[in-house]
Amino acid sequence: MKELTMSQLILLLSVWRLEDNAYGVTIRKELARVTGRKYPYGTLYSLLDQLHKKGFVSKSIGGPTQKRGGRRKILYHVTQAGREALRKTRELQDTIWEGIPEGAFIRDKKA
Amino acid sequence: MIEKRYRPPRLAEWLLGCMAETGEEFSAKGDFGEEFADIAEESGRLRATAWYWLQVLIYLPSFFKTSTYWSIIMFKNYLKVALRNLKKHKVYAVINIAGLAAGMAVCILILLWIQDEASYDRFNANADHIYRVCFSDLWSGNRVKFSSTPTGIGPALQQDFPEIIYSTRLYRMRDILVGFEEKRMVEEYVFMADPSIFEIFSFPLIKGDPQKALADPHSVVLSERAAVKYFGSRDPVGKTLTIGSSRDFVVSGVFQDIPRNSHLRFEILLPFTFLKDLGIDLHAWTGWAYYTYILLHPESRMIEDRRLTEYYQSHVSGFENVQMHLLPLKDIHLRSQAIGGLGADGDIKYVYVFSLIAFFVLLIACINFMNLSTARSGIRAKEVGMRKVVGAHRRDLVRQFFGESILQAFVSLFFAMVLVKALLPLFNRIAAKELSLDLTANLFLYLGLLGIAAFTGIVSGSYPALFLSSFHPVAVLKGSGSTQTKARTVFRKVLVITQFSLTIVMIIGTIIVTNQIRFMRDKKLGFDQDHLVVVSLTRSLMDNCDAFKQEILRNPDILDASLAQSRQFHGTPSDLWKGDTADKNVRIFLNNVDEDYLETFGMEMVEGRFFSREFSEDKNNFVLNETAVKAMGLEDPVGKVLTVNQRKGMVVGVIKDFHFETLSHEIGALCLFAPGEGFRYLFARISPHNMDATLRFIEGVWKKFDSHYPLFYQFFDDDFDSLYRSERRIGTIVGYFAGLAIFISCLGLFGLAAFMAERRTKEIGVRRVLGASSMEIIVLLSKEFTKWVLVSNAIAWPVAYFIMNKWLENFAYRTEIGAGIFLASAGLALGIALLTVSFQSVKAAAANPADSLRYE
Repeated sequence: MKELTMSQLILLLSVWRLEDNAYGVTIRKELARVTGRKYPYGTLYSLLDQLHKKGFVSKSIGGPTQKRGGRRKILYHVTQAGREALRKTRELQDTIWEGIPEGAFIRDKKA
Repeated sequence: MIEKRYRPPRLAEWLLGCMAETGEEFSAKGDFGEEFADIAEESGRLRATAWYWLQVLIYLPSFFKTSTYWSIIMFKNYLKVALRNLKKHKVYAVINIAGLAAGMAVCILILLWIQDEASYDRFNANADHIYRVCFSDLWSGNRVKFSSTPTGIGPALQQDFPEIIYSTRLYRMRDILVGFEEKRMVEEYVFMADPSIFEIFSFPLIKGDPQKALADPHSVVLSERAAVKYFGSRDPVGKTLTIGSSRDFVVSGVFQDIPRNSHLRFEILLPFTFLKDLGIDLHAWTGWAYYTYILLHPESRMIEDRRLTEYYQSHVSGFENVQMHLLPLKDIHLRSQAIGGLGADGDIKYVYVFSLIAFFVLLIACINFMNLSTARSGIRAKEVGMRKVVGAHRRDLVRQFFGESILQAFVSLFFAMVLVKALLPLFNRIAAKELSLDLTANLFLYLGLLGIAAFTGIVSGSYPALFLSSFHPVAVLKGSGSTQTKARTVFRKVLVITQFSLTIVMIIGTIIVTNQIRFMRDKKLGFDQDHLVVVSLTRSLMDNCDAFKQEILRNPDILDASLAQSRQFHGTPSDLWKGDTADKNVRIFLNNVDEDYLETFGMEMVEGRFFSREFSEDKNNFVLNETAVKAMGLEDPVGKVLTVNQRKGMVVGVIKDFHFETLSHEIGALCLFAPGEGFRYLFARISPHNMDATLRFIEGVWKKFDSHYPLFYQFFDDDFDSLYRSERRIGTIVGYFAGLAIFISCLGLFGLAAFMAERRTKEIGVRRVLGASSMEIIVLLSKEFTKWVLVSNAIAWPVAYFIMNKWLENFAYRTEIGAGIFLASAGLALGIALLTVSFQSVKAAAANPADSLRYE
């Protein structure tokens, strides 16, 4: 299995965190909160599409609201495979960071 | 309901819907809408709208990235399948592409031709503001337009209408002898013009000053071509040319050769003011023999006919019915219906006819393609089913099949261009054009080619695309659902019948055009045109014409000779004979002839006698033709005293009608004048033996009278033949195209027959085993096609009759459209169709049934 890219990772985690309320608007807001940057919808949709094709997220249809002009939403959920991928990425990252002391960045700042 | 202020911009929303993944537009629209509402609530609708648009625009790049990625993958697959199909079914591919290429080649040729026809006179920088002044008059109750004007009109108009910037008058002289030192030639294109011609038209001078070049009445301006002809590499300016009868003109300028697509074409230009030396009033209000062109101010509109007519009427009296008009320069070549036009030999009708032919031929080629691809749909049905099963939308399939036909169309376009390159010299010779397939700087051609290819691709692909994509996957994959339903075979029949009907119409058209040309050539003209030599007289010969004639008659091989002022078929001067009321006015043609005219031409008298030397009072007498007697309403005409052309005289006889104008016109009223002056032609009937010696004799006599100029003569029948050049040209072109149409139709038929035979291989095998003879098999396979061709005939006949009848109305004397023509074309079409089909059916019949049944 391929590793997740950084943006896929962030996205997948956001969807997970949003639990049953992960759809376009909320995901975009969550991403903005985490990364401090507003994702264009085009990027967001194509990222979600990639995750969907890999089977990391599943879709379901959610109810409409008046604000949305009566349109229903597509809700995203992290699948079992998605969770597995997250776990693997986490492991990989832990391995990569191994042996780098926490204080390494502080010294850099001083210099 | 959504509150209005939360309503996102519609256009942006629609755009978003187009980009979002199919089936999920609602979600994207919803997401956008929700945030839109939030922003609108917070910072107003304007902000929200801006945001919405921005987001949609940012969406675009990623949309294109994903969508093109997928379409490239699919495109590769489509291309692969299309090429495989072409490779696998080579015969069909060749038939399709050859047919389409031939059809397109016809279209391209016609496109080039039309482009050339439409380009006439457009090279003039002022083309939009140049007009020709025309007149019209009531003749025998009909309003007839003519493009000539009196001399005074141009200057007067320019003076009295402020919107006219320039005007120029032109006069054409025919068959003028031009000489420099020992070089002497007869020039066809000698004109006289006012100096402003160079201001109005874009005829740039290479040498000389356009304002002064024609100022001196004894100056002359030459084309580059003419300058080289007379002076070679020497500088022509300042040299002296002898033009006409020993009149000297000094070359004052050289103009660039006039483009072929100019209706005005001259090689030698003399000052109009020179006419004054010949005693012509340059400010006359009557006497229509000159052409007038005006240049209007770019801002002013065309001057209305009513104003012009009123203006003209205020200056003349006795011409109540004469009206004045303007004809835009750009309409002269194709839309001038005036008589006596200068080089206005184009006709918008032919442009329409040719466009229609191009369309028909292309349609026939497209029908081939449609027929073959639907007939063979069974082969593709499985592919369609498979694609549908793995998730192709119908839309994708439609796109695929359109793509395939457009691909074929472009491959065909390439071959069509090769074909056109090869055929262009031939086409140019037939059509008397200088067309070239020059792709540089010919935007129109580019668009035309693309248009033709796109049209072909879309039309020929439409039926297969819509039809093949409609297959039900379960049915085709199970193999049970036959793809040959009744509706489909009916449609195919309709297509084949359409194709053949069009072809038959063209065959009939070709036959009728050819017949009409033959008819005109063979028509009894009312006189004997064989072995008749026409000699154009020069000024010095005109003065001694009687002596010249007597000298010539001393040769026993010259049977008869006569002098006349004008020659048949080249425009005859005419005058208005005033009846009691305006509608009884008769346009009467005039000719001055000597006593031997009747004898030389072998014409007959109906009543009275012809001019004779025995009657000295004949000087003032007339001979009328039958039409004139009828038109003037004369009873018992011989002995009547009339005034024609301001001459009073007695009618001494009535001559039998003969054709003195081309057969497009009915025989007009003609008045022959008794011997006088101004004979310009000598007609000599020579014996068919020793023709060469006789002509040499005439030349010898000529030299005695005029040592200066060479003899200029023509055989009457050659000249007559050349009059129908444009009709013959059209006939040949239509003939060639009809041939091509037949070829394309047959290609299609050939393919269809091959397919049918293939599909019925087993049936034929069984029939053979059960004892059917080869002949029976051939009949079986040909029967259906015969039926189609017969039905096509039934449809084509009335259409062809209608169209050709319309065309024949252009001629006053026309051939019959007999039943024979229709039967002949039916026989031809049937014969060709059967021949094509029989090739396949013989093959099928001759095949060993054991081969086809081996696997049963």
